[in-house]
Amino acid sequence: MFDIKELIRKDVAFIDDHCRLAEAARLLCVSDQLLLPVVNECLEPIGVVTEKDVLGWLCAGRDRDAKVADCMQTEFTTLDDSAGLIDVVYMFARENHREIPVVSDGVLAGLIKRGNLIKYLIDKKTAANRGAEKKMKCGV
Amino acid sequence: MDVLYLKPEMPIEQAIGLMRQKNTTSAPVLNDNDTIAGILTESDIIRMFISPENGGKEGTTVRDFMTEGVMTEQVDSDISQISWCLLNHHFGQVPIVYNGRFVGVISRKDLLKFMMEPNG
Repeated sequence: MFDIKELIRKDVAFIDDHCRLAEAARLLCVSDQLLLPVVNECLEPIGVVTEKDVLGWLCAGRDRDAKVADCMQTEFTTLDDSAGLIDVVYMFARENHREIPVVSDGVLAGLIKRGNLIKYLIDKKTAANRGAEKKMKCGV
Repeated sequence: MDVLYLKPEMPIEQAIGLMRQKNTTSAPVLNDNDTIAGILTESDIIRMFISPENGGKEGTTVRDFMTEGVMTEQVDSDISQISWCLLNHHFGQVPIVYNGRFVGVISRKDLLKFMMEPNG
């Protein structure tokens, strides 16, 4: 039985849209995340800021003192913590996301990384193969 | 070379295990002469799982699912050229070559760290 909570990383870096872009860049550099969820005071996601967003801003020679709100994406994907495995797999496969914020009752609950989904799928496949081998040995 | 690279004939399970060990979302695939045959990304792996004909079939190798025709940069490429490459392609890293042979990669995070240095 799939439980999305097995895939959610809860200990994630996130940021406020009033913070400076340099702080977002610093957080992205020290964490292994490719994006930071941007949240309001109620911890509800209102956007995301990715490595690509920050790099694009800096490489264009724009203001380094800008706020996160200036360069974040406000159209973004989230997953609900009640989503099923098929929804999760197709979300990652169809839209080429590497990380997707997860919400619970509208509040940021964590992040799912594509690598963790892959590990989950491999573990399930390995377990299924072992089960099949066991059945064959038992002559079932 | 302290950068993860894969071989086309490597079993896909082994490649995925190595990528997880190195915590990387993609890895270049090298021919025997160190030229680049392709790149294996997490997207490719997800595609493998949802592929009805090949999903996890015994004997599946990196070659079966890697992305070919990868854009590379030279060791002496200008940083603005590398930035352009990383910002305009969906790969999170670009392989760097010298005389056509792979020598390393530059990721978006590498570039971001460089840009955030005082003189970056």
